[in-house]
Amino acid sequence: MIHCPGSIVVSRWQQRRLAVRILVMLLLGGLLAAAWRGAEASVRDLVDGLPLGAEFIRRLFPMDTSIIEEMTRACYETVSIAFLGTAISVVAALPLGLLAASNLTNPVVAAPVKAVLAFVRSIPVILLALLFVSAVGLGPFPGVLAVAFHGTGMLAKLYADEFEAVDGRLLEGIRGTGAGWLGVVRMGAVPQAIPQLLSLSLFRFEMNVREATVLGLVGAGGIGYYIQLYARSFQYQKVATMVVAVVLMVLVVDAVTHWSRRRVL
Amino acid sequence: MRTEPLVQIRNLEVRFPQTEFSLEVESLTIRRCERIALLGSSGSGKTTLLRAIKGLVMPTAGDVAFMGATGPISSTQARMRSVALIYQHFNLVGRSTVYENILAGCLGRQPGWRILLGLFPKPEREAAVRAAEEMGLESQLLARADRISGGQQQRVAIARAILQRASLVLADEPVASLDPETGAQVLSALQGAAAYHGQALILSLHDPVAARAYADRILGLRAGRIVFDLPASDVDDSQLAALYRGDAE
Repeated sequence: MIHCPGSIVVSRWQQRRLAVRILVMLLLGGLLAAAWRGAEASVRDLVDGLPLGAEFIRRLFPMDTSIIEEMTRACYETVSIAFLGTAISVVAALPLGLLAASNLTNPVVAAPVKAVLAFVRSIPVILLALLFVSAVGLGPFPGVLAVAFHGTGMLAKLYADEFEAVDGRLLEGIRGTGAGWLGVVRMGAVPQAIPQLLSLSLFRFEMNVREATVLGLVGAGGIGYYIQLYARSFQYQKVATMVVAVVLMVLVVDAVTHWSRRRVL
Repeated sequence: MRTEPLVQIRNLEVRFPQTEFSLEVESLTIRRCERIALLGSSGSGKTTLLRAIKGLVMPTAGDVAFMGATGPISSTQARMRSVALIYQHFNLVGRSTVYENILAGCLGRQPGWRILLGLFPKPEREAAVRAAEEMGLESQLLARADRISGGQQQRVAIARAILQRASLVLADEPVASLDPETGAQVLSALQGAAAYHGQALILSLHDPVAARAYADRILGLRAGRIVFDLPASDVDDSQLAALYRGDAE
């Protein structure tokens, strides 16, 4: 072992750190350039398009408030899709999450369950909605199914993470009483993780409301259905009303879930 | 009854692949209602011995026979139920109430549907309340387990062991996280509960004074070997000094 004075050790470390930083910068720069090309980004298109955008916005006004009733119904439908979809995925995700938690379930079982969940999560909600529309027809119900399916994959994984974060000593304490798997889960893992599970579920509901607003674009119900309907028939003043409704609805749902999550945690 | 063997250890050897440590116990018999203290420095094998008796650590060689009322108990679940373990860090479900933590002691004898629905039979619920009262926790029943003091948490763990109806209670440094006064109260509670419920008790301790006060028999462990096994009154200071002399490694 060669002994180096501290100043040399420090200056080498600084040089190495500088080299790493330059390398990271170059890498990021390269990635950005590739993405710029890949996305066909263009400042000129953006500048040229500004007047058209302004024209579009001008045509949104004055908002058409004669469709308030329809708007209310559309919001009710959207929140219903999100709520029912979330409820179904919570019920499905709890057992799946327990099976995917490697501290509760044998990894031989947990690993494949995790893989299936990753597959489920990898399919975007809008594609699932397309699929379910062709299976059960147009309307909000395929939207519920799409939200429930994707949400199950998401929540089960997040639940499993929470279960895995439960202190192993606590689980051993329950196991040590002679309790089986069910006892350890029911009296140990679940009560300890429940605030996090609730918080994650509320957050999922919040996200599902946003998802449900666009499902209508593929015919799976919700407010998005009405937006695309009016946009296609150039009734921009009605589109404006619906867009305002979306913004208000999302803000209200955010506020409610934020408040509830703070209460449970 | 009191002299019937409860645990019989023969040629027990526990090795861990990643370390040089090994626990070797040629022969050890624990009788019903005995009160034993394990003394030894950190790393002497106290915890490993307790975990081997509990069945949490599998022996590399030899065996630990555990006697039930009718004969040796072989199933892991039955052994888990018959041997309660009390931990240094209490190992309670912090977010659950004191009552629920104590009630968990009866999980080993409940059918699945009762556990799932959380509907425990009335005698068990009453027993849980009685165990809490015995440990002086009656005013804490509905408090969250992580909101009470360390001494109270350890008494919850003792109450859980009472509800478990174990015939042997192992306590792995049960007072190491507590101040001396609270520690003494917890040891008294442990000893009293074991005597009242006819349980044998093995305490692993760091304090020889406490070992003499709360046990009838003291086992000295050093580097994974039992170096003495004597009635508490026969252990002298030179034996204790030899136990803690720092040349074990």
